[in-house]
Amino acid sequence: MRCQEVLENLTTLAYDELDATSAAACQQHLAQCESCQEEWSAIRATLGLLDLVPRRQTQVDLAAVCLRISREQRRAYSWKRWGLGLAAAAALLVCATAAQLLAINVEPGRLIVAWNAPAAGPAERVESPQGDSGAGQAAAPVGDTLKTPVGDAPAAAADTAVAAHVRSIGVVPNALVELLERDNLAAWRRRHRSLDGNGEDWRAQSDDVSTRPRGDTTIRADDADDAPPPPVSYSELRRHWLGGDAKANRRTSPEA
Amino acid sequence: MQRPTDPSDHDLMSRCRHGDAVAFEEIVRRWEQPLGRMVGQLAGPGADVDDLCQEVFVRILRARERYRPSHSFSTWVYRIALNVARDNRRREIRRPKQSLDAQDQASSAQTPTDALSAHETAEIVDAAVRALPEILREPLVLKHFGKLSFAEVAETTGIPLGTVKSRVATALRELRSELNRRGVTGTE
Repeated sequence: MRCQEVLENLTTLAYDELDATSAAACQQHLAQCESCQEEWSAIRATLGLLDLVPRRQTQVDLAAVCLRISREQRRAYSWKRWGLGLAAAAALLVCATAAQLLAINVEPGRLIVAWNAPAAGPAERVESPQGDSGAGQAAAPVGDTLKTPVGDAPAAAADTAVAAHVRSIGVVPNALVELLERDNLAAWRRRHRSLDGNGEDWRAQSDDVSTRPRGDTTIRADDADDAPPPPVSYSELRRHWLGGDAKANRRTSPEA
Repeated sequence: MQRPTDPSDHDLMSRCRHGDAVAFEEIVRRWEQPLGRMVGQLAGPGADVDDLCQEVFVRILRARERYRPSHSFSTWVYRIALNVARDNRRREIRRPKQSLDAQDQASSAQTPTDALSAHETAEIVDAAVRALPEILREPLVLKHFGKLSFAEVAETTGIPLGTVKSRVATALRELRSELNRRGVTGTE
Protein backbone atom coordinates (compact mmCIF):
# COMPACT_ATOMS: atom_id res chain seq x y z
CA MET A 1 0.00 0.00 0.00
CA ARG A 2 1.32 3.43 -0.90
CA CYS A 3 1.51 6.44 1.44
CA GLN A 4 -1.31 8.35 -0.32
CA GLU A 5 -3.72 5.44 0.07
CA VAL A 6 -2.73 4.98 3.72
CA LEU A 7 -3.19 8.68 4.50
CA GLU A 8 -6.66 8.59 2.92
CA ASN A 9 -7.63 5.64 5.09
CA LEU A 10 -6.16 6.81 8.39
CA THR A 11 -9.31 8.55 9.66
CA THR A 12 -11.41 5.49 8.82
CA LEU A 13 -8.84 3.33 10.51
CA ALA A 14 -8.85 5.54 13.60
CA TYR A 15 -12.61 5.10 13.89
CA ASP A 16 -12.19 1.36 13.37
CA GLU A 17 -14.37 1.25 10.30
CA LEU A 18 -11.83 0.02 7.82
CA ASP A 19 -12.30 -3.51 6.54
CA ALA A 20 -9.92 -6.12 7.95
CA THR A 21 -7.77 -6.52 4.83
CA SER A 22 -7.23 -2.79 4.33
CA ALA A 23 -6.64 -2.28 8.04
CA ALA A 24 -3.94 -4.96 8.07
CA ALA A 25 -2.29 -3.45 5.02
CA CYS A 26 -2.36 0.00 6.63
CA GLN A 27 -0.87 -1.26 9.87
CA GLN A 28 1.88 -3.00 7.92
CA HIS A 29 2.66 0.22 6.05
CA LEU A 30 2.61 2.33 9.25
CA ALA A 31 5.17 0.02 10.84
CA GLN A 32 7.58 0.80 8.00
CA CYS A 33 6.80 4.46 7.10
CA GLU A 34 7.88 7.12 9.59
CA SER A 35 5.97 10.05 8.01
CA CYS A 36 2.73 8.09 7.89
CA GLN A 37 3.30 6.96 11.46
CA GLU A 38 3.67 10.62 12.45
CA GLU A 39 0.36 11.52 10.80
CA TRP A 40 -1.29 8.53 12.46
CA SER A 41 -0.10 9.68 15.87
CA ALA A 42 -1.33 13.23 15.23
CA ILE A 43 -4.79 12.00 14.27
CA ARG A 44 -5.04 9.85 17.37
CA ALA A 45 -3.88 12.75 19.53
CA THR A 46 -6.54 15.05 18.06
CA LEU A 47 -9.19 12.44 18.68
CA GLY A 48 -7.93 12.17 22.25
CA LEU A 49 -8.31 15.93 22.67
CA LEU A 50 -11.83 15.76 21.29
CA ASP A 51 -12.67 13.26 23.99
CA LEU A 52 -11.76 15.90 26.56
CA VAL A 53 -14.66 18.08 25.54
CA PRO A 54 -16.93 18.05 28.58
CA ARG A 55 -20.24 16.31 28.40
CA ARG A 56 -22.92 18.67 29.45
CA GLN A 57 -25.77 17.09 31.31
CA THR A 58 -28.89 17.80 29.37
CA GLN A 59 -32.16 17.97 31.20
CA VAL A 60 -35.23 17.76 29.01
CA ASP A 61 -38.40 18.99 30.60
CA LEU A 62 -40.75 16.24 29.52
CA ALA A 63 -43.82 18.02 30.85
CA ALA A 64 -42.97 21.09 28.79
CA VAL A 65 -42.59 18.95 25.66
CA CYS A 66 -45.96 17.27 26.19
CA LEU A 67 -47.60 20.59 27.02
CA ARG A 68 -46.35 22.13 23.79
CA ILE A 69 -47.59 19.20 21.73
CA SER A 70 -50.91 19.25 23.52
CA ARG A 71 -51.34 22.97 22.83
CA GLU A 72 -50.44 22.51 19.19
CA GLN A 73 -52.96 19.70 18.84
CA ARG A 74 -55.65 21.75 20.57
CA ARG A 75 -54.91 24.70 18.31
CA ALA A 76 -55.05 22.47 15.23
CA TYR A 77 -58.35 20.97 16.43
CA SER A 78 -59.71 24.43 17.07
CA TRP A 79 -58.80 25.53 13.56
CA LYS A 80 -60.37 22.38 12.15
CA ARG A 81 -63.56 23.05 14.10
CA TRP A 82 -63.67 26.65 12.93
CA GLY A 83 -63.11 25.49 9.38
CA LEU A 84 -65.97 23.01 9.61
CA GLY A 85 -68.21 25.65 11.14
CA LEU A 86 -67.41 28.10 8.37
CA ALA A 87 -67.96 25.43 5.73
CA ALA A 88 -71.33 24.57 7.27
CA ALA A 89 -72.29 28.24 7.39
CA ALA A 90 -71.26 28.68 3.76
CA ALA A 91 -73.29 25.61 2.78
CA LEU A 92 -76.31 26.97 4.63
CA LEU A 93 -75.91 30.30 2.92
CA VAL A 94 -75.76 28.63 -0.48
CA CYS A 95 -78.83 26.51 0.33
CA ALA A 96 -80.72 29.55 1.60
CA THR A 97 -79.84 31.52 -1.52
CA ALA A 98 -80.84 28.62 -3.73
CA ALA A 99 -84.13 28.23 -1.84
CA GLN A 100 -84.78 31.91 -2.31
CA LEU A 101 -84.18 31.70 -6.03
CA LEU A 102 -85.84 28.36 -6.63
CA ALA A 103 -89.63 28.15 -6.55
CA ILE A 104 -91.44 24.86 -6.95
CA ASN A 105 -95.16 24.76 -7.35
CA VAL A 106 -97.34 21.69 -7.68
CA GLU A 107 -100.59 22.17 -9.51
CA PRO A 108 -103.04 19.52 -10.61
CA GLY A 109 -101.43 17.83 -13.55
CA ARG A 110 -98.21 19.83 -13.63
CA LEU A 111 -95.14 20.71 -11.66
CA ILE A 112 -93.73 24.18 -12.07
CA VAL A 113 -90.12 24.78 -11.19
CA ALA A 114 -88.98 28.36 -11.55
CA TRP A 115 -85.47 29.72 -11.06
CA ASN A 116 -84.74 33.27 -10.08
CA ALA A 117 -88.45 33.99 -9.57
CA PRO A 118 -89.15 37.26 -7.78
CA ALA A 119 -91.00 36.95 -4.52
CA ALA A 120 -94.69 37.28 -5.34
CA GLY A 121 -96.99 37.61 -2.41
CA PRO A 122 -100.75 37.76 -2.81
CA ALA A 123 -100.76 41.51 -2.14
CA GLU A 124 -98.43 42.06 -5.08
CA ARG A 125 -100.54 40.06 -7.42
CA VAL A 126 -103.74 42.00 -6.87
CA GLU A 127 -103.97 45.71 -6.74
CA SER A 128 -107.44 45.91 -5.27
CA PRO A 129 -108.54 43.26 -2.84
CA GLN A 130 -112.26 44.11 -3.18
CA GLY A 131 -112.87 42.43 -6.48
CA ASP A 132 -112.57 45.57 -8.57
CA SER A 133 -112.88 44.61 -12.23
CA GLY A 134 -109.96 46.86 -13.10
CA ALA A 135 -107.80 45.00 -10.65
CA GLY A 136 -108.77 41.77 -12.28
CA GLN A 137 -107.17 42.89 -15.53
CA ALA A 138 -103.80 43.34 -13.93
CA ALA A 139 -101.35 40.91 -15.44
CA ALA A 140 -99.67 38.44 -13.19
CA PRO A 141 -96.04 39.35 -12.48
CA VAL A 142 -93.34 37.64 -14.49
CA GLY A 143 -92.02 34.58 -12.74
CA ASP A 144 -95.06 34.20 -10.53
CA THR A 145 -94.99 30.52 -9.91
CA LEU A 146 -98.53 30.45 -8.56
CA LYS A 147 -99.77 31.47 -12.00
CA THR A 148 -102.66 33.48 -10.60
CA PRO A 149 -105.35 33.47 -13.24
CA VAL A 150 -106.63 36.84 -14.31
CA GLY A 151 -109.91 37.44 -12.66
CA ASP A 152 -109.10 35.76 -9.37
CA ALA A 153 -109.18 38.98 -7.47
CA PRO A 154 -111.52 37.75 -4.73
CA ALA A 155 -109.37 34.71 -4.25
CA ALA A 156 -106.30 36.89 -4.07
CA ALA A 157 -108.07 39.12 -1.62
CA ALA A 158 -108.80 36.11 0.52
CA ASP A 159 -105.16 35.10 0.25
CA THR A 160 -104.12 38.50 1.39
CA ALA A 161 -106.48 38.45 4.32
CA VAL A 162 -105.41 34.98 5.42
CA ALA A 163 -101.74 35.71 4.95
CA ALA A 164 -102.01 38.99 6.81
CA HIS A 165 -103.87 37.32 9.61
CA VAL A 166 -101.43 34.44 9.88
CA ARG A 167 -98.43 36.73 9.69
CA SER A 168 -99.91 38.95 12.40
CA ILE A 169 -99.85 36.00 14.77
CA GLY A 170 -96.11 35.80 14.29
CA VAL A 171 -93.72 32.82 14.66
CA VAL A 172 -95.33 31.09 11.71
CA PRO A 173 -93.09 29.14 9.42
CA ASN A 174 -93.01 30.68 5.97
CA ALA A 175 -93.63 27.31 4.41
CA LEU A 176 -96.89 26.97 6.30
CA VAL A 177 -97.99 30.44 5.24
CA GLU A 178 -97.30 29.49 1.66
CA LEU A 179 -99.38 26.34 1.99
CA LEU A 180 -102.25 28.24 3.54
CA GLU A 181 -102.19 30.77 0.75
CA ARG A 182 -102.16 28.12 -1.91
CA ASP A 183 -105.01 26.22 -0.33
CA ASN A 184 -107.20 29.31 -0.34
CA LEU A 185 -106.23 30.05 -3.91
CA ALA A 186 -107.08 26.55 -5.06
CA ALA A 187 -110.43 26.76 -3.30
CA TRP A 188 -111.25 29.99 -5.06
CA ARG A 189 -110.24 28.56 -8.38
CA ARG A 190 -112.62 25.67 -7.90
CA ARG A 191 -115.38 28.07 -7.01
CA HIS A 192 -114.87 30.23 -10.07
CA ARG A 193 -115.01 27.21 -12.33
CA SER A 194 -118.43 26.28 -11.02
CA LEU A 195 -119.77 29.83 -11.34
CA ASP A 196 -118.83 30.36 -14.93
CA GLY A 197 -121.62 31.16 -17.46
CA ASN A 198 -124.79 29.19 -16.78
CA GLY A 199 -123.48 27.79 -13.63
CA GLU A 200 -121.34 25.29 -15.51
CA ASP A 201 -117.63 25.21 -15.60
CA TRP A 202 -116.60 25.72 -19.24
CA ARG A 203 -113.14 24.53 -18.36
CA ALA A 204 -114.62 21.26 -17.22
CA GLN A 205 -116.41 20.77 -20.55
CA SER A 206 -113.33 20.99 -22.65
CA ASP A 207 -109.65 21.30 -22.04
CA ASP A 208 -109.24 23.09 -25.32
CA VAL A 209 -108.27 26.64 -24.62
CA SER A 210 -109.83 27.81 -27.88
CA THR A 211 -113.31 27.06 -26.58
CA ARG A 212 -112.95 29.57 -23.84
CA PRO A 213 -114.72 32.86 -24.66
CA ARG A 214 -112.27 35.48 -25.86
CA GLY A 215 -111.60 38.32 -23.52
CA ASP A 216 -113.02 36.40 -20.62
CA THR A 217 -110.59 37.88 -18.22
CA THR A 218 -112.91 40.03 -16.18
CA ILE A 219 -114.73 39.03 -13.13
CA ARG A 220 -118.44 38.66 -13.53
CA ALA A 221 -120.87 40.63 -11.46
CA ASP A 222 -121.93 37.68 -9.39
CA ASP A 223 -118.31 36.84 -8.76
CA ALA A 224 -117.46 40.37 -7.83
CA ASP A 225 -120.32 40.53 -5.41
CA ASP A 226 -119.24 37.37 -3.80
CA ALA A 227 -117.28 38.51 -0.80
CA PRO A 228 -114.31 36.43 0.31
CA PRO A 229 -114.85 34.30 3.37
CA PRO A 230 -113.94 35.83 6.68
CA PRO A 231 -110.35 35.12 7.81
CA VAL A 232 -109.97 32.11 9.97
CA SER A 233 -107.80 31.92 13.01
CA TYR A 234 -104.33 30.59 12.76
CA SER A 235 -105.07 27.78 15.18
CA GLU A 236 -107.97 26.64 13.05
CA LEU A 237 -105.92 26.73 9.89
CA ARG A 238 -103.13 24.91 11.57
CA ARG A 239 -105.49 22.21 12.80
CA HIS A 240 -106.92 22.00 9.34
CA TRP A 241 -103.51 21.50 7.82
CA LEU A 242 -101.91 19.38 10.41
CA GLY A 243 -104.88 17.53 11.85
CA GLY A 244 -107.54 17.64 9.13
CA ASP A 245 -110.00 19.58 11.25
CA ALA A 246 -113.44 19.43 9.64
CA LYS A 247 -114.65 22.73 11.03
CA ALA A 248 -111.74 24.70 9.64
CA ASN A 249 -112.10 22.87 6.40
CA ARG A 250 -115.73 23.93 6.17
CA ARG A 251 -114.94 27.53 6.93
CA THR A 252 -112.23 27.82 4.33
CA SER A 253 -114.12 25.93 1.66
CA PRO A 254 -116.20 27.89 -0.89
CA GLU A 255 -119.19 25.65 -0.32
CA ALA A 256 -119.45 26.75 3.30
CA MET B 1 -27.43 2.06 28.97
CA GLN B 2 -29.73 -0.17 26.98
CA ARG B 3 -29.94 -3.75 28.18
CA PRO B 4 -30.56 -6.67 25.83
CA THR B 5 -34.03 -7.15 27.28
CA ASP B 6 -34.97 -3.50 26.78
CA PRO B 7 -37.27 -2.71 23.89
CA SER B 8 -35.57 -1.36 20.81
CA ASP B 9 -35.92 2.23 19.68
CA HIS B 10 -38.16 1.02 16.86
CA ASP B 11 -40.51 -0.68 19.34
CA LEU B 12 -40.61 2.40 21.53
CA MET B 13 -41.31 4.65 18.59
CA SER B 14 -44.03 2.32 17.38
CA ARG B 15 -45.67 2.43 20.81
CA CYS B 16 -45.19 6.18 20.92
CA ARG B 17 -47.07 6.50 17.63
CA HIS B 18 -50.01 4.80 19.28
CA GLY B 19 -50.00 7.33 22.09
CA ASP B 20 -47.89 5.48 24.66
CA ALA B 21 -46.44 8.22 26.86
CA VAL B 22 -44.22 5.78 28.77
CA ALA B 23 -42.51 4.79 25.54
CA PHE B 24 -41.81 8.43 24.77
CA GLU B 25 -40.37 8.94 28.25
CA GLU B 26 -38.03 6.03 27.61
CA ILE B 27 -36.93 7.53 24.29
CA VAL B 28 -36.21 10.82 26.03
CA ARG B 29 -34.26 9.06 28.77
CA ARG B 30 -32.15 7.18 26.24
CA TRP B 31 -31.47 9.99 23.83
CA GLU B 32 -31.38 13.23 25.80
CA GLN B 33 -27.64 13.01 26.58
CA PRO B 34 -26.33 12.01 23.12
CA LEU B 35 -28.62 14.49 21.41
CA GLY B 36 -27.82 17.20 23.92
CA ARG B 37 -24.11 16.74 23.34
CA MET B 38 -24.44 16.81 19.60
CA VAL B 39 -26.80 19.77 19.53
CA GLY B 40 -24.54 21.60 21.97
CA GLN B 41 -21.59 21.20 19.62
CA LEU B 42 -23.51 22.12 16.51
CA ALA B 43 -25.36 25.08 17.94
CA GLY B 44 -23.82 28.46 18.56
CA PRO B 45 -21.88 29.21 21.74
CA GLY B 46 -24.67 31.17 23.37
CA ALA B 47 -27.31 28.56 22.72
CA ASP B 48 -29.39 27.09 25.48
CA VAL B 49 -28.74 23.39 24.92
CA ASP B 50 -31.60 22.26 27.15
CA ASP B 51 -34.05 24.36 25.17
CA LEU B 52 -32.70 23.08 21.87
CA CYS B 53 -32.85 19.51 23.07
CA GLN B 54 -36.40 20.07 24.17
CA GLU B 55 -37.16 21.40 20.70
CA VAL B 56 -35.67 18.22 19.22
CA PHE B 57 -38.03 16.05 21.24
CA VAL B 58 -41.00 18.25 20.38
CA ARG B 59 -40.17 17.73 16.73
CA ILE B 60 -39.74 14.00 17.25
CA LEU B 61 -43.17 13.82 18.82
CA ARG B 62 -44.64 16.02 16.10
CA ALA B 63 -43.10 13.88 13.35
CA ARG B 64 -43.84 10.50 14.94
CA GLU B 65 -46.39 9.63 12.26
CA ARG B 66 -43.76 10.12 9.56
CA TYR B 67 -41.22 7.79 11.16
CA ARG B 68 -40.51 4.71 9.07
CA PRO B 69 -39.09 1.65 10.86
CA SER B 70 -37.22 0.74 7.67
CA HIS B 71 -34.84 3.62 8.42
CA SER B 72 -32.34 3.82 11.23
CA PHE B 73 -33.84 5.48 14.28
CA SER B 74 -30.55 7.15 15.23
CA THR B 75 -30.19 8.63 11.75
CA TRP B 76 -33.73 9.94 11.87
CA VAL B 77 -33.26 11.46 15.32
CA TYR B 78 -29.90 13.03 14.46
CA ARG B 79 -31.34 14.45 11.29
CA ILE B 80 -33.98 16.23 13.37
CA ALA B 81 -31.33 17.43 15.81
CA LEU B 82 -29.20 18.68 12.92
CA ASN B 83 -32.12 20.71 11.61
CA VAL B 84 -32.75 22.18 15.05
CA ALA B 85 -29.10 23.17 15.33
CA ARG B 86 -29.09 24.69 11.86
CA ASP B 87 -32.23 26.69 12.63
CA ASN B 88 -30.62 27.96 15.81
CA ARG B 89 -27.47 29.01 13.96
CA ARG B 90 -29.55 30.90 11.44
CA ARG B 91 -31.24 32.75 14.27
CA GLU B 92 -27.89 33.52 15.88
CA ILE B 93 -26.51 34.99 12.70
CA ARG B 94 -29.14 37.72 12.96
CA ARG B 95 -28.15 38.48 16.56
CA PRO B 96 -25.15 40.65 17.53
CA LYS B 97 -21.90 38.68 17.66
CA GLN B 98 -20.67 40.18 20.91
CA SER B 99 -20.75 37.01 22.99
CA LEU B 100 -19.00 34.94 20.31
CA ASP B 101 -16.11 37.43 19.96
CA ALA B 102 -15.74 37.71 23.69
CA GLN B 103 -15.45 33.96 24.04
CA ASP B 104 -12.95 33.79 21.20
CA GLN B 105 -10.78 36.42 22.87
CA ALA B 106 -10.96 34.64 26.19
CA SER B 107 -9.87 31.33 24.72
CA SER B 108 -7.11 32.95 22.64
CA ALA B 109 -5.64 34.55 25.72
CA GLN B 110 -4.93 31.17 27.31
CA THR B 111 -1.93 30.24 25.20
CA PRO B 112 0.76 28.95 27.60
CA THR B 113 0.52 25.21 27.36
CA ASP B 114 2.05 24.35 30.66
CA ALA B 115 -0.36 26.60 32.51
CA LEU B 116 -3.39 24.92 31.05
CA SER B 117 -5.43 22.64 33.21
CA ALA B 118 -7.44 19.77 31.73
CA HIS B 119 -10.56 21.85 32.09
CA GLU B 120 -9.04 24.78 30.23
CA THR B 121 -7.76 22.47 27.50
CA ALA B 122 -11.22 21.03 27.11
CA GLU B 123 -12.66 24.55 26.82
CA ILE B 124 -10.16 25.45 24.10
CA VAL B 125 -10.89 22.25 22.16
CA ASP B 126 -14.58 22.94 22.50
CA ALA B 127 -14.13 26.46 21.16
CA ALA B 128 -11.92 25.18 18.32
CA VAL B 129 -14.59 22.69 17.28
CA ARG B 130 -17.20 25.43 17.28
CA ALA B 131 -14.89 27.61 15.20
CA LEU B 132 -14.73 25.03 12.40
CA PRO B 133 -16.64 25.81 9.22
CA GLU B 134 -20.11 24.36 9.22
CA ILE B 135 -19.51 21.91 6.39
CA LEU B 136 -16.60 20.38 8.35
CA ARG B 137 -18.11 20.64 11.81
CA GLU B 138 -21.35 18.81 11.08
CA PRO B 139 -19.76 15.54 9.84
CA LEU B 140 -17.14 15.63 12.60
CA VAL B 141 -19.66 16.21 15.39
CA LEU B 142 -22.04 13.57 14.07
CA LYS B 143 -19.18 11.10 13.71
CA HIS B 144 -17.33 11.78 16.93
CA PHE B 145 -19.94 13.01 19.40
CA GLY B 146 -22.93 11.31 17.82
CA LYS B 147 -21.01 8.03 17.51
CA LEU B 148 -22.56 7.44 14.08
CA SER B 149 -20.88 5.37 11.42
CA PHE B 150 -19.62 7.15 8.29
CA ALA B 151 -22.53 5.67 6.34
CA GLU B 152 -25.03 6.99 8.90
CA VAL B 153 -23.41 10.43 8.82
CA ALA B 154 -23.76 10.39 5.05
CA GLU B 155 -27.44 9.46 5.37
CA THR B 156 -28.08 12.07 8.04
CA THR B 157 -26.41 14.94 6.27
CA GLY B 158 -27.37 13.83 2.79
CA ILE B 159 -23.83 13.98 1.41
CA PRO B 160 -21.90 11.12 -0.25
CA LEU B 161 -19.94 8.68 1.88
CA GLY B 162 -16.57 9.53 0.34
CA THR B 163 -17.22 13.22 0.92
CA VAL B 164 -18.06 12.53 4.55
CA LYS B 165 -14.78 10.68 5.08
CA SER B 166 -12.71 13.38 3.45
CA ARG B 167 -14.53 16.14 5.36
CA VAL B 168 -13.94 14.41 8.69
CA ALA B 169 -10.26 13.99 7.82
CA THR B 170 -10.04 17.66 6.81
CA ALA B 171 -11.85 18.72 9.98
CA LEU B 172 -9.35 16.81 12.10
CA ARG B 173 -6.45 18.45 10.29
CA GLU B 174 -7.96 21.93 10.70
CA LEU B 175 -8.64 21.26 14.34
CA ARG B 176 -5.13 20.08 14.97
CA SER B 177 -3.71 23.13 13.25
CA GLU B 178 -5.92 25.45 15.32
CA LEU B 179 -5.07 23.69 18.57
CA ASN B 180 -1.37 23.87 17.78
CA ARG B 181 -1.78 27.59 17.16
CA ARG B 182 -3.34 27.93 20.61
CA GLY B 183 -0.61 25.88 22.18
CA VAL B 184 -2.60 22.75 22.82
CA THR B 185 -0.95 19.54 21.86
CA GLY B 186 -2.40 16.23 22.64
CA THR B 187 -0.84 12.89 23.36
CA GLU B 188 -2.13 9.53 22.26
